[in-house]
Amino acid sequence: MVEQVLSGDRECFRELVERYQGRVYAITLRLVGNPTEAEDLTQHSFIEAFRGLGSYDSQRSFATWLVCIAINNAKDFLKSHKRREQQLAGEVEGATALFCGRVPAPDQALTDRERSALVSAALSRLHPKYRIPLVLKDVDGLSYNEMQQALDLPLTTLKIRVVRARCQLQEQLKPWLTNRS
Amino acid sequence: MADQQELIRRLLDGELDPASQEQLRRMAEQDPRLAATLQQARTLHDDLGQLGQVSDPGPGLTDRIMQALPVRPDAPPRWLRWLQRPLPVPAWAMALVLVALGLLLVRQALRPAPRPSAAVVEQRQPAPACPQQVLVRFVLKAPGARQVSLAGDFNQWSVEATPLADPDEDGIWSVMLPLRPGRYQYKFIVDGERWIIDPNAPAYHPDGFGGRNALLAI
Repeated sequence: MVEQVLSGDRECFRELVERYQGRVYAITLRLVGNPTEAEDLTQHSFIEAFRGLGSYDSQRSFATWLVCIAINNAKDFLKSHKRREQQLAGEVEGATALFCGRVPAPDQALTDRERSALVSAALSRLHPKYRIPLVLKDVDGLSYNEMQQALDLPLTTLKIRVVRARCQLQEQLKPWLTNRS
Repeated sequence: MADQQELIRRLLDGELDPASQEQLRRMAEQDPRLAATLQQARTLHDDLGQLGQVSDPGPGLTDRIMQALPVRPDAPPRWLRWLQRPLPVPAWAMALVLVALGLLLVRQALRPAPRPSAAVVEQRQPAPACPQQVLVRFVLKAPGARQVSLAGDFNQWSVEATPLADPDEDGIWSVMLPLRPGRYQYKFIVDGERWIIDPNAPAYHPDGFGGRNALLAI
């Protein structure tokens, strides 16, 4: 399909967009935390992928290559816009808005949507250094090898960061997790 | 604690073999705190896995992306096209050449360090033809020299009588001379005109012209 796009069949790219946009959007959303910005960045990632298609190594998985572009765009966004604090506030507001202005008590039964909002809010409080590897591993299910390609970090560093991220998140959500265990 | 965290990580990432899983289960049975941590870690892991399923981009994203695309992909950079071009020789032949070059470089790197740039008396041994004499090697590092010779008491300071040789053209010139025991003064002559004093000589002696000669005692 990539070959067809390169040979001039631009419409073939639509199929690639339809196949992978959900994954690219999900990863981007988990990294930047804001649906509108995640959509803009998803669009930007696909345009960048289209432009760079000539440099794509066909020996490599297209999905991994695309995810790398998306992650790098999200990282650049977080760095250059220095949006972390604003985004954190947005996430926490989003989560509390869902609960009508109050965070649920640990002993309260939560719907799936409420639980996801709670975990998302806690996730967004992690430093990107820990949040990004955890999102890629536990939310998007990337292998460590794929993460290594995407983040250009040693395997050991990635595993350590995933462990720390899980511990920090667990600490934040301990009251709710204890109640459910 | 760090070991436990690593064990839990391996369990969640599906890297833990059955024997280690059993070991962790037994540890958790004896340690309620570990059991709770393990249970919470599993719950959280499941919750995180659910997050990936709730995200969905808004409608019309595909159309917006397609409308924003440029007419065609960018041409790959020139260096990439150069790398991807068909090779005039098979890749294995290129690899062989590269390996050979690598071996050559390693060999060069392992060669002994060059001798001092000055001349040294490197070797003394009895001359086989005449037991009273010893063989002495004179060496001079003179890269770029067209010719090098040795002049001293032993050849009546002749500029041409005792030439040095550089057979492997590495700039190291040498000559072996049979000498009787005694004291000898000497100098090297490069390209027939430059007189070089041996700075590594064991001793020196005034040459009578305001300079000095190297002095060798055998």
